[in-house]
Amino acid sequence: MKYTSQMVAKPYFIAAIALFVGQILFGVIMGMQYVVGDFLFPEIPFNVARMVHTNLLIVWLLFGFMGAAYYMVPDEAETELHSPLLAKVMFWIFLAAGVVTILGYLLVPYATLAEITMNDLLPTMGREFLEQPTIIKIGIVVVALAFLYNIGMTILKGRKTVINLVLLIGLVGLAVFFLFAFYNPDNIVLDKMFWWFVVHLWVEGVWELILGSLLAYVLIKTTGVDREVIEKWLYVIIAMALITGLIGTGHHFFWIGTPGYWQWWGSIFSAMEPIPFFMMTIFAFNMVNKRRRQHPNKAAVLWALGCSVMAFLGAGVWGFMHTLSFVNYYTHGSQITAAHGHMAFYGAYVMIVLAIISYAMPMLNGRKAANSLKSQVVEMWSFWLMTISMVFITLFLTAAGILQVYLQRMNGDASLPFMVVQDKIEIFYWMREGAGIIFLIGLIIYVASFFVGRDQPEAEMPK
Amino acid sequence: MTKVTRYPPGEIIIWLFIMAELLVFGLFFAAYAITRIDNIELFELYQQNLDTTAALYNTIALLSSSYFVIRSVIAIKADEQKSAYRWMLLAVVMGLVFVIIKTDEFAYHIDNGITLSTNTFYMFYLSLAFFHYLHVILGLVILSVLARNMNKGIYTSKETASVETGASYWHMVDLVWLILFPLVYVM
Amino acid sequence: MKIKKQSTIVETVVFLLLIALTLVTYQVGEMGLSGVNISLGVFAIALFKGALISEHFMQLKYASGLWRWMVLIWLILLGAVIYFAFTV
Repeated sequence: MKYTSQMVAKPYFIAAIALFVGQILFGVIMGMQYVVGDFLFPEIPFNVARMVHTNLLIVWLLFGFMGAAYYMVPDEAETELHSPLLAKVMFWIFLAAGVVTILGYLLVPYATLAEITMNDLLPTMGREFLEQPTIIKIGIVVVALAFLYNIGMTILKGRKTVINLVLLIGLVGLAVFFLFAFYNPDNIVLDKMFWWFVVHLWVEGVWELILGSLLAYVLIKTTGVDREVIEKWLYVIIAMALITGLIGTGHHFFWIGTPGYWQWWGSIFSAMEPIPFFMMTIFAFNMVNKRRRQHPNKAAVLWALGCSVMAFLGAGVWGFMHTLSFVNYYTHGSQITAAHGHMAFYGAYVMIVLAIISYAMPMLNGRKAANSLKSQVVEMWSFWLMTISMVFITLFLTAAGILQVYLQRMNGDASLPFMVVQDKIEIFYWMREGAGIIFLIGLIIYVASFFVGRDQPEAEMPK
Repeated sequence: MTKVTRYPPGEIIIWLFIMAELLVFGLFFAAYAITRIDNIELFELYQQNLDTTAALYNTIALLSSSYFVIRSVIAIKADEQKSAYRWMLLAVVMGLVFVIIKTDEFAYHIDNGITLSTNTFYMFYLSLAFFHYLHVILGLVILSVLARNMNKGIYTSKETASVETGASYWHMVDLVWLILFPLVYVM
Repeated sequence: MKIKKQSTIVETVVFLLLIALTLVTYQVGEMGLSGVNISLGVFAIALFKGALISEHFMQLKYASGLWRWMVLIWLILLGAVIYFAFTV
């Protein structure tokens, strides 16, 4: 690790993993509530567990992105971070804000939370994934601006690589689009339309730039392939992501009351959104194939390759399955959506954050390049457990969704009501919960991998 | 013996863009044709409202523009900088002719209250035409930059990559129109 | 040493041919001829024009392998879809 200021990444990564554990605990709780309706009621009602689960996901991924940036940018820019102190202060502010928000969801009725946080001065609460009190949202903006300032100043005074610039553009985009969370029109159609300016333009837009740059960085470091080759790939990938994803936002405008032409624009452009993900898969495997050296951190390479595959499957393939308007007409808001959402988020964003942590953490802990063989083996076990169980979660929810859509929406006069159908697909929810428990076990093993084999020697590059 | 790959002209990256663009337009054309199956009367009725003569002038403008671009490329490969510049300038002029005629066409429709929501035919026509129009404008920006650089003598017979890259993009814009014109205006 | 300039005859002939074919298409439109066969004929002309652009203007005739065929394949696929859509 060339620059001491890269160390500020460590608390960010630790917080990320801790919040990830919290997220999955609440996921498992909800999976149980699907089949035992009053599980933990009234202490943790389903809607509260859901807010905690989704908000924790976003916050821990943000911690992961910030940690990644603090680690990567000084290295790429070949200069120390502009202000490690600012990074440390912002860490605690962001963590405190996150913890306070989650506690607020859990301990206080939501309406009361709105009242005590003075939501009516600038109402932004009550929207999915954007449930945070307005003052917390303002805090997030402050943290984001400080972060961008810190990273931006570092890049400004140092080497401006393609990876750095793509990462910066992605992060700036993340901050800019978050501002739409403050725009809350009274008109429900507009409300929903602008909500997607945050959500879609994040995960199917600027976050893909962040994903691309992190993947490129890990690949450069672990394969030794020429930077120029990797940068060219990165350009093409993000260009395709933007070309398809910007107008592709229209695939969320099918049924919310916007004009009908969105069904055409949204279908045609979003149909091509798998392309950048497919390119990332080819990119990752191609670079690893062409590698100049065998890096001792096999776990990091595994996460990177796995990410490129799962992102393509979850975001690309499962996304494509329900992106055309005439399909979405039937599947909208069903378990198909949940299937896609879980695999896409895990494949694209969870896995890339875990990849960068896998790459960087050994060095943040004082190693030269990688953890001990024992540690890596445990980590790779966790990779397979989490990834395979996520595949099963997705398959079970897909099966549930197909049955749900058919019974509830495609059976003409014999179409059954929602709760009747939920009863009929219960078996899939039980199986999903089983897979979810295994995912949790995988995650526990993942956490354990940071503690086992610590006193064993580093894995060496094979001679 | 290893096979020699002869690459298309210009930087490879532009060909990836060209294929992506052809994919988008191809999907749009296909969607148009397939939607037409169940809406033949509607499509044939409103198709008659389109100005086929304006489209003819537009086609001739783009074809000429593409021809002038290729004359410019041939000239720069022979180190004839002045000639290359003049041909490229002509290409830009013809491109502007297209833009002017097309803008007038759009203005006419807007004045008559036609929007994307008027009916399915107009939705397709306006979407396709406007989307293509934006690509023409981008192409003109590229050609203008090339022309300006030619005037400064930046390109030589040994450095033609940028010119050929821009030229390839422009030919794609022309190609798309060659499909759009018969499909939407005539058939 | 002056570089020998590539002949412009082929490209000029292609250009004139493209204009001529365009006028034919225009005439068909103006005459109001209708019918599936007329439409498909017009589109076949369009595909041929497209091939002229890809081979001679885009210079893909000098490219090898898939690079040469990519636009032609696009034209063929489009032709197939249009044929299907107009005859079904």
